[in-house]
Amino acid sequence: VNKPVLALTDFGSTYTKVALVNSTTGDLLATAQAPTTVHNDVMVGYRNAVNRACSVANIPAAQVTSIASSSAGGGLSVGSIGLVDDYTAAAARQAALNSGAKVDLVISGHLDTEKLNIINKTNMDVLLFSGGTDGGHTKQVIANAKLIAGAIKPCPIIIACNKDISDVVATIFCDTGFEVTTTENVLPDIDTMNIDPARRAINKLFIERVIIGKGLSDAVEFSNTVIMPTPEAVLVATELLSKGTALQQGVGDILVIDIGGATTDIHSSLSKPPTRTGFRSRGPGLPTLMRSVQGDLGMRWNASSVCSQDEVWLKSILDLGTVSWRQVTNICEEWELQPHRVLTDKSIDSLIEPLLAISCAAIAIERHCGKTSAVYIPNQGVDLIQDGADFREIPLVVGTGGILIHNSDGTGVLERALRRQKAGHTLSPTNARAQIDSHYIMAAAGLLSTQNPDAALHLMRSSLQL
Amino acid sequence: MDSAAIDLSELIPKDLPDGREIVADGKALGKKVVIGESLYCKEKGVKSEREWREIAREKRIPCTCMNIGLSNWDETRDALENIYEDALVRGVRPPDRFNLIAERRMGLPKSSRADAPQETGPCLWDEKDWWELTQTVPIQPEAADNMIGGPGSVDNVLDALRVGITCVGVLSQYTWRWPYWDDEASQVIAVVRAAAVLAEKKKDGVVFDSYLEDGYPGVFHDYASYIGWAMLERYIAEDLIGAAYSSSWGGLTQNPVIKSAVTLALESVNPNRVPISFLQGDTIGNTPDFDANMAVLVNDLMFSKMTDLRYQLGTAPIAVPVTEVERIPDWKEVAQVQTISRKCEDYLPLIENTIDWKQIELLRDKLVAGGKVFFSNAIRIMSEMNIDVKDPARVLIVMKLLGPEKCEELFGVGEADDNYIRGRKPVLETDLVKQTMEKRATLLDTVSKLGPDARLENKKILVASTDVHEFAKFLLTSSLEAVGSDVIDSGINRDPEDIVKVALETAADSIVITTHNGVARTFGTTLKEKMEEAGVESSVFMGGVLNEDVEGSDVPVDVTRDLNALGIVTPHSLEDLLRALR
Repeated sequence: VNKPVLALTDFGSTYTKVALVNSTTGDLLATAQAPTTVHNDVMVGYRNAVNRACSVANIPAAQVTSIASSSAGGGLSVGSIGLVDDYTAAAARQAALNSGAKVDLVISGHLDTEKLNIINKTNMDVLLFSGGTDGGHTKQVIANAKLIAGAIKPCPIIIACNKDISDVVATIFCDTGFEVTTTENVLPDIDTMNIDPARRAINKLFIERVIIGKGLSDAVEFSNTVIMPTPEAVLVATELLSKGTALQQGVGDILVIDIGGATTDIHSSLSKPPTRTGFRSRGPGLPTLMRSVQGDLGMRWNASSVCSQDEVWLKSILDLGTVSWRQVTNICEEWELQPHRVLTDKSIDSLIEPLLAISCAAIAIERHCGKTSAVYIPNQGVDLIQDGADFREIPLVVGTGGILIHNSDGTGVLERALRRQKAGHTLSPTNARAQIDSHYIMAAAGLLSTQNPDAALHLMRSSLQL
Repeated sequence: MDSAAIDLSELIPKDLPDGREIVADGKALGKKVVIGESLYCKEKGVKSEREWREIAREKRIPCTCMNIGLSNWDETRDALENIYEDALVRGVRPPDRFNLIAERRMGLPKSSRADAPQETGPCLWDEKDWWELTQTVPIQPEAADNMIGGPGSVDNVLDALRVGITCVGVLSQYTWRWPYWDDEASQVIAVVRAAAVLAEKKKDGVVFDSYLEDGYPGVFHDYASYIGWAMLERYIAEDLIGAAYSSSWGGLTQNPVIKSAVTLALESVNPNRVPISFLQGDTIGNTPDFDANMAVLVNDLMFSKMTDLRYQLGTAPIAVPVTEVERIPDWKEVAQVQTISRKCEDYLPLIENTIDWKQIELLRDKLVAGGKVFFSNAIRIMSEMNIDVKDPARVLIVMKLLGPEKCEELFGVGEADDNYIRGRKPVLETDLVKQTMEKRATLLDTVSKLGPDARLENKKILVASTDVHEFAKFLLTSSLEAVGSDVIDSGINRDPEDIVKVALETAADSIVITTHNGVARTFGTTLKEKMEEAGVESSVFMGGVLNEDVEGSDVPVDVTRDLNALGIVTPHSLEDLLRALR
């Protein structure tokens, strides 16, 4: 029997965050955090955080049960393999992203020695193998399976290819010692992605591999507690907040941005895209629920990368009389070397940090959103092409993650990112309101939704004041 | 909402000057022109054709029009004399006006005409030819086909005005391409400049005519789009350039009731009441049975004339010779239908009051409402696409670049509905679409009755178009589905690379390509190369217009043999294709 108070926990790389909630109503009772104890046993940090939260809420820690998500220890690394880049490989990549994994490799086509070497070197936790629509291509997909089975050291593999040959492919991998999971095709027909079965399969492996395999804790309590990767929890929460439950309406189309130290993640949920007469899209239709990860945009480990990518804007906005460009780049390099350095209000760092956050947000949003282009064909007319989803009309963007939550003006940072002059062809939000997840409850709500979606929606609505 | 985020200004030729400067320049040119006097205007005692039309509509005097253009000017002139004499002999009023259907070379600048390939139709070579246009018989000419629209527009306008022609067209033909002329900028400059000359002479009763079906409306699916398009042309011609604009139309509509409603809708969006220069007679109802065409002719004329007189439009219906469907009519065939047209006039008062005009007016109002939305969509969307909508040259060129399909998809007004090719349920489906859909239904009926050995069950067939034309692909996908095959609709405007990717994932048995844009050989060659690279073994079929532009030939050359040499099958008909796919 579940106790009414839940400790919704996020094992992050740096901090372990706990939200105490009433699991029946979704009322937030307290939040607290403590440094994640990766080098010891992560349960040490967890208990510190829970104890702090319980003392705030004045609840005995023994009365609390916990469910948790984790991104500690680097998360789950997935390699996506498909037949054609724009089709099965793209679907496999999106399935892995939506599962909250790090997609360290996407590969397609005939797998020659070079590609096999890359797979071998990338050292992934899981491979997601796709190729062919249902009833579609077989020959090269089977050939690719044989090549991988013969050249790669066995690892867990999820088969989500043409259903006609998934048994054949599974046998090939089983015979060479791979740990095989077979699931539905990520691209059953050429127009439609079907990524949720693969997403669930990856999640299941995540629990087994990351939780049990990475040695973060010896405690049974830990492996019983963690039910999903943190990005997955945020994506689940995003969908719930957007679409609502049977009893409560959602808030409609949204985009949730999480600016982290190493990456900037975006989660988005759209109602079914309206038929856009006059535009043509390339590749299969995208799912309405999408996560993207920008591996080169982060506040610490990627500070220099952000700085160089957005140099023109940063220079235009900085008062280069008070601070030189050299000082800016130096600070970014220091951040990369000392990611955990604490900022002081007086330091020049706090001037630069919000600007860097605006850069991360603006670039990540632009990449996540679709683009349009016009091509003129002589004697034919203009072809209007849309690549990716249209977010121009969405009413709300939610900001989460350390920098946006802890900055004194996180809303201002996000608003400035949204108002930045965008490239003309980008389908990014034009008039969205910015809202900060100031209590850091998005991941917590994703966890809670597995038990009580209505309580989870209430938690988000009240905490985000929606 | 569908349009923002596209910047079409990038597609506009860099050398296109500001349209307002072109207008100023054309008006200055117009000031120097002295308008001549035609026999017709002299006889009527008016300064311009428009002046007479305004009198005629006031007094309910029916006017008639004919199209004429024999193989050269001398023959055309003789035909005019004969037609005029014939009317006098028969005791009917001679035709009021004619549209000169000039040879295509007339669209080129004067200096380029002699070197261009000769086609059929009259070409006016010197002052004498032009003079004879207005001075042979008292029938008022319109300088129509190939006069305005091409790069030679300015030369033609000046010549036409000098000899007393006060109605010059055809604005919608600016969407055409002239042989050896690929310079879009100079062509549109010529059209705007010529229109500005006409604007300068508006006070003298000069009219700038269009014929809608020569432009994009001819392939529109919705009559509401016709009205919206006419509003766009009027906006450019009147509001931006300052001319008096007339939206002539009518050849592609068979239903006389619908035709009356569309004509009235066009009049409703004609605030300055410029008389619609002519109403073309129905051409799609005609068949090789000339006797049967008499019925098409008379019904069309009766309704057009009743609408004209009842609502005092001051237009001039054209009687289409019953033989025109098969050949260029000789003078006797033109005279025959002109006589019928005049005789019809006797019956109008007997019938007119028994027609339910209310029904036609309701239809008119629906079309006007739709047309206004089309127009405002167009202006808004073009502005969003970063086009200066106050510049006539830019608006013209961007509409030309968009092409008819895109214009109707973007600006169109019907409710969104995927069952229609252009993604919307038309406010009022055009007769052209109706006919084609009927053809499709017949075709599907035939196909579905084919025996079991004609069925293509378990065959996976990828269908794609190399160009923007959706209809051929639509026919293909529906007939292939009707014989039970598993159709993969890869869409329009596809590159070989796109097609190969889809064929690879789906392991399509066959690839069927429809092409109409003169790229058949290059496309076929690239497709086969890419298939080879990717290891795709599907069989390839191509149909449509299998030709390609080659250096040194004005017309694209047939490339069927080249395609066959590549191993591409080129069926001659749908039946052929179905057989070959088995």
